[in-house]
Amino acid sequence: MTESLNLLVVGMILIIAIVLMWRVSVIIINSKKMGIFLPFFVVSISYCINAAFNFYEINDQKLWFIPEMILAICFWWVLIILIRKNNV
Amino acid sequence: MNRKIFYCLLGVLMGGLFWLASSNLTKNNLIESEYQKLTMDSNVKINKINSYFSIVENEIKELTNSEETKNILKQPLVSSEEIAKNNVDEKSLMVIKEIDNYIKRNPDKTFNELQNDPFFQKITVQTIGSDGYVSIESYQKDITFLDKNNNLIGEKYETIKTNSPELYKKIIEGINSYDVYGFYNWSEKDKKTIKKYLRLTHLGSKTSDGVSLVVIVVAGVDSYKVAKDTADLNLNFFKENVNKKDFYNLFLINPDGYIVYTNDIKAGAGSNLNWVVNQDLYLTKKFIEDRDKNKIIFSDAYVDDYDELYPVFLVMSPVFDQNKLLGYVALSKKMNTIFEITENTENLRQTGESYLISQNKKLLISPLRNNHFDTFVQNINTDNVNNCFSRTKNKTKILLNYNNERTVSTNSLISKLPWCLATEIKENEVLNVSFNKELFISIIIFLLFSLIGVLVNIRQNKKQKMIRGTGSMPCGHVGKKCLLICRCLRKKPSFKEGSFCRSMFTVRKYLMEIKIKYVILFSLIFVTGYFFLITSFFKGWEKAAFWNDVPDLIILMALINLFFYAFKLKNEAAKELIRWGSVLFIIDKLIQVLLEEYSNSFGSLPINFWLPATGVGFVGLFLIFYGFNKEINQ
Repeated sequence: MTESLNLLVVGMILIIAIVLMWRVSVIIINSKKMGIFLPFFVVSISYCINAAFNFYEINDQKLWFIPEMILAICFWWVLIILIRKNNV
Repeated sequence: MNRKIFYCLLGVLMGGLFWLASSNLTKNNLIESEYQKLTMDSNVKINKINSYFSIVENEIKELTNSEETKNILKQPLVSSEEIAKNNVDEKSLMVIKEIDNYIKRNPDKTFNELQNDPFFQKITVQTIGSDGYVSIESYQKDITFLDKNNNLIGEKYETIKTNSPELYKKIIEGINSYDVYGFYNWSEKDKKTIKKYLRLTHLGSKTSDGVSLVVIVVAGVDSYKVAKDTADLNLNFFKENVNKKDFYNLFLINPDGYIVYTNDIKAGAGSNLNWVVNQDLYLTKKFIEDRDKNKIIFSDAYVDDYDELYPVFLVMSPVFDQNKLLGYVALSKKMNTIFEITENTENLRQTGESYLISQNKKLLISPLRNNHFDTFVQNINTDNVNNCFSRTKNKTKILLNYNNERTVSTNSLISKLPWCLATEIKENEVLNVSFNKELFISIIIFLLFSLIGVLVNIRQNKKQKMIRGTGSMPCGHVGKKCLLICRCLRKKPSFKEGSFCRSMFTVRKYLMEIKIKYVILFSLIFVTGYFFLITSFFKGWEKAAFWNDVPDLIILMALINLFFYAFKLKNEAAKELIRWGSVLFIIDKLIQVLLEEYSNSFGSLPINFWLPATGVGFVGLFLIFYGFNKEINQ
């Protein structure tokens, strides 16, 4: 039961990561604004790492720090892009 | 019924139900979580012990295959005067001490009483080597007091003169000398002459009737045999091995049982393991048991000498040269390294301990955490240990320990030796949690329902007011659109002073104008406060799960900033999406910090606990992403 639930979660994270990556890639290709949408692409990669850690049941806090920190950097990155665009 | 009261009651009901259901669930969860930790700790220790035994196995293989070992075992055997002398001298010291102690403890016993005392006979009449013996003499009586064969008791010294004038001379020499020793020749009944070594020592104590006693220890030189010409061989190889690899003893034994080499001459060099005197040695038992097995054998822990406090374990391997058995290498090692591994209680909280049990269920490690039991004496016959040796999985995780206390228990068998590692922690420590989380979550549920009640009530009141067409209308319109505050805020304000929408509009205006540096400051204060608040419910901030909390709190800060900054955006759709996305993601992170602290304090939570918050977070992420896209591509 727990194992199948775990697999379900891993699958869910992976699907979210792939969908996000796909949507970001399409927008980057269409709008040619790679630098602006790059943080979301990195977020999707971070979620892929997340899924891998969950799949292999890696619980080391120090290892989990890496994808979580990537996520934190990306959100600040998004905020900075918005501030710079609106200039307020 | 008033909706606020209804939702409060529903909150009480749901909170109560949760409390009832979770109290049992949490107990099992805590035990399960602790059991997993114990199993992990046990597995780590077992792996370390097995690795250590693999190193020892390689060490004995190296010795077995070395030319030095083969060379010694190929040498013919010769008698050793040095070893005979050593053996007799050592035995002499031991016997003198034993007899002296006995006489001092029995000062009333006379010469004749001692002669007939069975216990005294037992400690005095001993065999040395294969043909040596201890005998007690008395110059005052001019007779043999006690000896190995009893047939000399009462004999005059004069009778010895015919068999060995040299021995008679030494005995006479002993009348005036406290300590006499040396080699002499002895004629056997078949006229064969053999060389013997003697040590004659006067006892310090006298019998109650004033008789002085003399201890004579004798052994034949020919019975001790060692490898010939060891001077030409590289004995340093063995000495270096013993020192560098921390061997306690190293024995090279020939197929007949002679210890042809040992690093410690007192450890039986030159003697034969088949001699009666060596029968009780652990090395002899294992030699007889394992010599035909033709493989490396690890043997149980043992203590051979009286002056040894700590046990050693034995490893024996046969030595072959072109399929011909040359002999055996046996080495003993102290168990310090193993004890260092098992005594580590870093992951075992206050009452946890792990200890080794031998196959006969005797304790191998002492002292335990709170008990000073005797190694090899204390019998540990618990269900946990029995299951370990019978390789039966524990049916329940709670078992009684050696003190009949309820403990979360796990066990593992060591691969090379029949030892079991039992790891246990007291149940009351596992269940003794300082923070009543069931109550905490129940209160949260209650508050949540109460809040819903309040919000629904507010909404319902406004709806009723609008339907009745009375009172101040938000935005000045009647219709469903006006029910949403967000829509209301988008309209040009035309409502009364002090109305709710007027207040909301003022707040919105303030948020649109607020400088980002103040938002950053606010978010920093908020996340710091939240961190201290949450950790105060668990182990405190000093023992928080920093590696998990820090990135989450940084994300939380970014999201709070994103939420407030969304008010400044011109694109209405982007504004809505980013605001809602931030709110959902903030909820996710707030819950995650709470769950991480819980996991850090009480052990990992099942994945279903994380699932709802993670789902909310994903929705938030996509809303932010689409809002961002709209803002960029407007």
